[in-house]
Amino acid sequence: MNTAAPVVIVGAGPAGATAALSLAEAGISSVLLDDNGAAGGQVWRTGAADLGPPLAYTDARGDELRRDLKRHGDLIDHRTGHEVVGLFPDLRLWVLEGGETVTSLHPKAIVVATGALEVFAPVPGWTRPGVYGLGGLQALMKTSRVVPDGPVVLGGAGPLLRLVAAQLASFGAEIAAVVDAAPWPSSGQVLRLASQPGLLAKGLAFEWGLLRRGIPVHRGSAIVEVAGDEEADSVLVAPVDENWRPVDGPRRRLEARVVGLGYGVRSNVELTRLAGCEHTFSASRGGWHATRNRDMETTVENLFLAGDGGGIGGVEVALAEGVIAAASVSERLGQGDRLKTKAAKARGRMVDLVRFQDALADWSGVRPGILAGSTEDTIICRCEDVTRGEIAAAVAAGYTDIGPVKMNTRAGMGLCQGRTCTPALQAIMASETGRPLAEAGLPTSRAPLRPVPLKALAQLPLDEAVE
Amino acid sequence: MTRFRRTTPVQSLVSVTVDGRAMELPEGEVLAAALLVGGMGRFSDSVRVGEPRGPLCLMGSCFQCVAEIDGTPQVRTCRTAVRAGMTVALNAPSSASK
Repeated sequence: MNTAAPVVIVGAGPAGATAALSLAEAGISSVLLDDNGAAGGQVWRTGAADLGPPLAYTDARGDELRRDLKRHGDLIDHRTGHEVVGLFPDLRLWVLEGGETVTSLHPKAIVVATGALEVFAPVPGWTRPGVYGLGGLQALMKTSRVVPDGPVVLGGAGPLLRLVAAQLASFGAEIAAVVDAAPWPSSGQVLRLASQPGLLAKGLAFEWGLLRRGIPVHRGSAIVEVAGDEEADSVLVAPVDENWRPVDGPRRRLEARVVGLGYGVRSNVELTRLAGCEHTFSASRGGWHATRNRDMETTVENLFLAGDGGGIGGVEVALAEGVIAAASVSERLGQGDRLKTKAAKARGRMVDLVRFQDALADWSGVRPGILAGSTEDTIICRCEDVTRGEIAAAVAAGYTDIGPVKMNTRAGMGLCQGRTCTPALQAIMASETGRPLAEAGLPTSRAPLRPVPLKALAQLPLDEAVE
Repeated sequence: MTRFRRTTPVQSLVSVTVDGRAMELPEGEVLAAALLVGGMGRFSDSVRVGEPRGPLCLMGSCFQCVAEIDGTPQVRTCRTAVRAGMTVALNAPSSASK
């Protein structure tokens, strides 16, 4: 194995793969690590088998990306099924392969491009089988062309909500309702969204996809309960205010054999937290993310970050940041400024794209009432079965920082290491302490980030294994 | 009760043992997807209160879809491809972190 590669890129989605391709253009080789079987990330995910006609509302750029990576195979060492479970301030990486082998890499520069995680809003019954993330329902379509059989209710906010609804409907899935916490965008918001006519047109196409199929969209409403014997069989929908808090008004119960939930996405910060990068909170970019300078470098030297992991910007921003990060890495390695013009163009594109993202967040970004649908008994941490009431009790007992609350309740300390419950935990901390969400803090990340057999860690060189 | 269906034809089926029962699943398919189409929804029981759980994120993050596969506990079925002869134990006591 080539442990001497100068550049390691983590994540082969649009940002990471573009960084690798740009570096290859400048003649620089890289190792591109990804836990999936194929490049493309979540947005351009694909399956192993021939799946027939393309998914509705997608473009061919994912296939182009995969072709380009193959074409540059001499310079890009794309390793699928490789999960990074450790990243340390001295730029060492622990890489888990096939669930049982851990190897260590120590490159000169790293580009983290691990994207985003879905934001869930726990409500009573959300732990029942039959409740899936919107991204999860989409992943089933993308990898396997598998769709729900029977009535589906999708709830949440943002573009993914209507995209998934329209895609499922195109396969003949029965979408009983789309429940959107956000109201129609205001005329001011629409004007700002129109600064990117192409992106606005895409959004309108999803909306039209719902309208022409007669799929009811309940705006300013949220799923406040998932009921069922063992698995989900219905949801309760209630009107919410502009902060997404349920209010008095007609509640309706809808039959649902499959429930999709998703309130947008947030940056996946587990690697940048582990590496000791500084993080900032920005409501318009999905909350917490690592701080970067204009060269996409984090506060840890030679650790670069591209794409949604540095604040939610969407695929177009990710593509631009991949180019900029590659140009910075090239200059840092003393490999010249061949990517300078390309990076300048990418920076130019970013200005308008970020403005669009701000408008999108203004319309559908997470509101402070996101957890108002939960009750005392609602499970927040699914791995350790910790309820909202238990977390509130810990705060009342004086544990007012997220770290001590975790240790006191075990919320966020299970198999998923808080990837699912952290936004909910932060929202509870904020509401129980009366502090703004931005002061709720971020939990600590610890290696290994995934369950790893001890025998695999024991294979590491001794000086690393004992740290 | 099956809650999912496949919209493309299956290319080749292989034999897999799920909870002691022989099943024919599409080779190379994402195991979680194959199990969902096969009518499985409850993949594990939660560690403290023993509630039924199933896959949530289907992209490797949430660990709610774990099963014991060929004797290895806590393997994410959403990150595992169907292979001929594999043995899958859902709700296996050892697949929960006690």
